[in-house]
Amino acid sequence: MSVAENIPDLDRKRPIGAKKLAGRIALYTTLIILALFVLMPLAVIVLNSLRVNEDILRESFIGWPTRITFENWGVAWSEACINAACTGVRPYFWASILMVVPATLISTAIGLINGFALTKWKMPFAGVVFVCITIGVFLPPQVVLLPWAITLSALGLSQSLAGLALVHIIQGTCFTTLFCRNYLINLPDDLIKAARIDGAGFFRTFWKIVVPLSPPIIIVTIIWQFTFIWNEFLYAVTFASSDFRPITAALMSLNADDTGVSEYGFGSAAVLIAAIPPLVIYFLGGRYFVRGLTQGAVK
Amino acid sequence: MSNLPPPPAFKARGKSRAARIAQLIPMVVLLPTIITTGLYIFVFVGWNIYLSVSTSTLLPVYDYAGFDAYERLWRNPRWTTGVWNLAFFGVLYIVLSTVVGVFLAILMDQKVKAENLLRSIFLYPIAISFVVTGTTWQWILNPSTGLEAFVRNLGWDEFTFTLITNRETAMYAVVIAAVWHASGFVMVMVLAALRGVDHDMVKAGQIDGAGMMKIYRRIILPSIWPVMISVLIILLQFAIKTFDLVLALTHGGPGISTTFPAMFVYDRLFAAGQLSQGAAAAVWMLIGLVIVFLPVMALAWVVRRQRGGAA
Amino acid sequence: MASLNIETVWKKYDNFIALRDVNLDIKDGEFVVLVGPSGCGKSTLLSIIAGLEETSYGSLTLGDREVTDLSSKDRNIAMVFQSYALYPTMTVRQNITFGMENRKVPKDEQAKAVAEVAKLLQIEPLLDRKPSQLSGGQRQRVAMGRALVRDPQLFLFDEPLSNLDAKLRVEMRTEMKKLHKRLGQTIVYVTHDQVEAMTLSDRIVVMNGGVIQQFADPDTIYQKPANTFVAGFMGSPSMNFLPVTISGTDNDVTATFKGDGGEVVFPLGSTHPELAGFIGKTVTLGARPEHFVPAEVSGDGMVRVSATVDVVEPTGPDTMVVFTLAGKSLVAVLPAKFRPDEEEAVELALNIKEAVFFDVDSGDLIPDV
Repeated sequence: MSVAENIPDLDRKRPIGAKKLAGRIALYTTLIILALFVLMPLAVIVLNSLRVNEDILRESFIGWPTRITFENWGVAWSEACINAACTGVRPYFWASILMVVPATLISTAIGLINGFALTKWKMPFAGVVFVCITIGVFLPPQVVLLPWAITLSALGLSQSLAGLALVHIIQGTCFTTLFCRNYLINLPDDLIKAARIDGAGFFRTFWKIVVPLSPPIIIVTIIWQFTFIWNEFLYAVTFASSDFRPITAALMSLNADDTGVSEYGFGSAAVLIAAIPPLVIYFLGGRYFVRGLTQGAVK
Repeated sequence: MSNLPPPPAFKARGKSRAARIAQLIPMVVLLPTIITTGLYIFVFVGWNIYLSVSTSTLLPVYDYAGFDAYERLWRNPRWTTGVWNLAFFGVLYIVLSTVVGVFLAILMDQKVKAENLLRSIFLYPIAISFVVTGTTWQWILNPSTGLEAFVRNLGWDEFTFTLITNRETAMYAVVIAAVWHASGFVMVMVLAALRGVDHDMVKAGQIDGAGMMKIYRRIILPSIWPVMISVLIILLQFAIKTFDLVLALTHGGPGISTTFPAMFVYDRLFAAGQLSQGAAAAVWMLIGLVIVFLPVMALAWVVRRQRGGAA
Repeated sequence: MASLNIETVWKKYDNFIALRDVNLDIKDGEFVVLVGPSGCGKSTLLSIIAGLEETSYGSLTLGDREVTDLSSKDRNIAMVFQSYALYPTMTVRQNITFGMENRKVPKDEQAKAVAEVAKLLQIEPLLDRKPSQLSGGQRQRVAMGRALVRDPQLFLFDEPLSNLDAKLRVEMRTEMKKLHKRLGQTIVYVTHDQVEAMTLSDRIVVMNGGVIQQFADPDTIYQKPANTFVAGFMGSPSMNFLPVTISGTDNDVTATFKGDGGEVVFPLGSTHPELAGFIGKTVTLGARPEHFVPAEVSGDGMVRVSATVDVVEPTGPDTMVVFTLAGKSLVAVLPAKFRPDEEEAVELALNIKEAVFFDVDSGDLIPDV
């Protein structure tokens, strides 16, 4: 075989036809308009958090900040009055963090080991357990709200951080188990068999083989649990008290306070503070966020 | 092979203690979850049903009053309106989210530049709570502060935009906010499914002379049905649980024009002191969920079987 | 190293009997290959030997220990998986030592054992790599290393070569045979590749439908298959089967095949005394494709037949010819230079001495007398 002496210009761009060009322009125009529409509420609220309240009242809620101020953020964080307590959203923010972080981590850990037990060990009634867990994911919370309230107060945990965390751990475990099960079921069985022959028991196989292979699903599960529990409202408002109130419940009170002049400036800042933790997680772990969506839900 | 020996009597043999313990470990690990899940699925739901047929008002009373609470429920306009609203909202929400989501996904599937950026933009609402979503959209749609005031400030003094304050149209405001929240999610699910479609099938369609529209309509979209069913199930879930979004957006108003069953349940249980009626309404929500889920599950089962048969 | 004795082992899943009355007596140091079509129970049997599945009935004895109810880790066995099952997050060294670590073997002994095995398998430069950085052949070696390092009483191999490409597979096959010659371990090896079975084994177990069809050395399996299943399964292309009627006297037997396209008579003379009792009956004649030769090279004990060629497939060293004999389609493997045209009438000869006969009803081999 002889090699061609003259290599033609392989990188030459083909001219784009007029019809195709028009199509591309239409495509990008549509996408950009839609993207702007989706971004609009966030943009409006970010801008408002930087505007002076009088400007907002005079010019409407939608507008460019003429005088930029960062005061709203400070007020929203530590001074604004919610439910007659002028503490800002700070205590509620920390209450949410203290409740969400342990609930997320504990339910994820339980879900992972459950998923391992369900998929890689022969168990009687594994199918029944799986069905129950799926029901647990889909059950409307309203149906168990009253029994939860009665049970928590019987346990002395009503309207407390620990009580709400417990509810989220127990219900979240269904979700995390399902997620982890769907991931771990694809782990080769041979790996577990090899570990058995190598003399590793349940926990050692879990710790040395399964956990090192699970960071993707651990991250996905943590992201989803954190976002879900942070954003959850029904349980939050049901089990809130003057001592303990998660941020979603506090925000609703702020929103419902239609007394006198509306303070949209720091209201916007408060809304943003409530939205920031899940948004940060979303933008940091975007790849995993998407993976969780497509992986967890499809199977 | 005609004269196979008959099977002997199989019986469980005594295993070594270590082997039995080893077999028990995964059971023991799962036991807490089995207990708690069983407790709240069966005991709690049963408990709730029990309370729904009791005479409980402010405090739980464990007696039997028949289906009185269930009957009174359907005479209560707040409940009937809520159910009707949910049906109306559910259909619009699911159809629009799906249409917008699929449309976006198809656009994104055209080898778009900056795909990751655009996807992040379209999807971010799903990370935001319903409370934040509702509050923000309430500010934007409110005539005195939002869009109407904005346009009037631009000079159109006659401009009116009272979607959210009008009894007849307030439900559309809820739909807009909800579709804004969910369509990015549908887009990502569908896009992932589109990427998973067998490329040879698309090539075969192109060789058969089908245009891109036709390939999507006849080849690609029919082959991603399982994902569409997952999307449908998740959206149905969201719809039935709708609570915080409406509370933040309209408080169920104006009047009771945007009230929902979930709001009714909460109101009866924790504000009105009508425990049995709240419990009965919650049972109806569960029944509703089962009723709409069964056909979807059946569809999923049929589709899976067909695909299994074809493979 | 040890012998393995499997006695009346049955395995039943919910509604399905996977193994029926399996009895095997594997000698110390023997290389035994389990072969059969997929679903025949060979992998189930291997899992039972490994202790990954329980028996429903019967017992296993390894050396002088009964191991039926022992878990995998207490059986002192090692296994190489089809997928290699290397732990992806551990280095090669950690993969090899994981089993010893679990058994609390002292560190210095572990290091010594790894060094030995690495040298034996020539994987020393790979010890600190992760499995994902290895080629298929290297992974295979590491998997073998993980098994060898513990010096178990019994080695189990589950289709270890099937994920390698054809060339590497042949190389590794030779290497495994050398390794076995050198170390002399007892090995049970599952494969669906009959060439692997023939080349590697001391003895072969052919299985079908959960039942052992034959347990014998490769030559016996090939030349005296126990029944039509073994005869058809081992050998490629498959053995040709013809229903023939036996006539004549005890010392001068004739077998006649009546097909749609006429009659073919095979004068057997006294070459097959085992057929004496079958005069007047129908039996199945089994002839391997290579037992046909072109008529012009035929010699003593050959029976000439006239055939019509259907398909000619040159394979390089041979020519595979599909032909019709009295309406029945048969296959012959003939010398490479023999290239008839399709539809051509050719004269072939069958080496009737090598042919085998089976009982029509049971399919069992009619044994020599």
